[in-house]
Amino acid sequence: MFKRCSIYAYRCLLALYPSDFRKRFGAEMMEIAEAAEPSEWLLIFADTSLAILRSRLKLTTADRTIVCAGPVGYLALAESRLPAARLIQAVILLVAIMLAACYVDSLPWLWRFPDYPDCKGILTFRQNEQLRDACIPGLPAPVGRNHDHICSYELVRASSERAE
Amino acid sequence: MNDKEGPLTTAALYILLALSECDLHGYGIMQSVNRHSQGNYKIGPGTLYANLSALLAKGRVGERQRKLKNGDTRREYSLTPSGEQVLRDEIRRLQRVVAAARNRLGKLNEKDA
Repeated sequence: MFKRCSIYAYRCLLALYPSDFRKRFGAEMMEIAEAAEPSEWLLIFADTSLAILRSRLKLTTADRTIVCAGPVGYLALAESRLPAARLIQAVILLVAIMLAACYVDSLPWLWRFPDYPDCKGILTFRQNEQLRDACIPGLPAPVGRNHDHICSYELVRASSERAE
Repeated sequence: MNDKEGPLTTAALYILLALSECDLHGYGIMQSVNRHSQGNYKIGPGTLYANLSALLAKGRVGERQRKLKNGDTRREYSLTPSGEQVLRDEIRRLQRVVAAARNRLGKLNEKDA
């Protein structure tokens, strides 16, 4: 499921490449993506997004006035007028990158804040002080808005320690 | 030839190094780069194909279709004589940089002692 979603997202990302580049290398890039390990997906998404951005910028600057300084070309900002089509492409690209970032953030193998029990558990725990005292004697009284989360987390941790 | 273009990027250098061993397909180049750099430099497909596209356009790298046993075809990339020359020039340039750096470090060590 994870792999299928990743491949689908990657296929969408590849659609943002200029068409001639996509026709030439798209199939090979998909092959690489399909062969990739889950731990490589972050690199693949980030790398491809940047490469698309670079290729798009190159296309944008190709037909504009460029001040050359050795091997590096700088776009003269005053003379650069982005056509509407390019702006739309940039917006689509930005949305795609944001979606990719959200997707990557949701991957289970990345570090995240510890997971807390769901709200139902928190409420039950909060309402039942006897249960709380029974599970974790000496737990401090509720203080601050994050207290419920902390209590629940402590409860889970204490339960798992006892189980061990 | 390379002096006119400036130094190669790290990715282009690793790609040419990988192809100096044998003809490879895209994924093979990625694995070879990872192996050559001992895992310190990982190249993604975006960077790989952007560089390959530029190297193909400049004639540093060639491509050919290879038929597999199952009937499928696979595109393989190879180093051209011009690409080999660029690679040699780049390695010579890097050797000069390393020699200069060693010389400089030697002088610094003498100063410290």
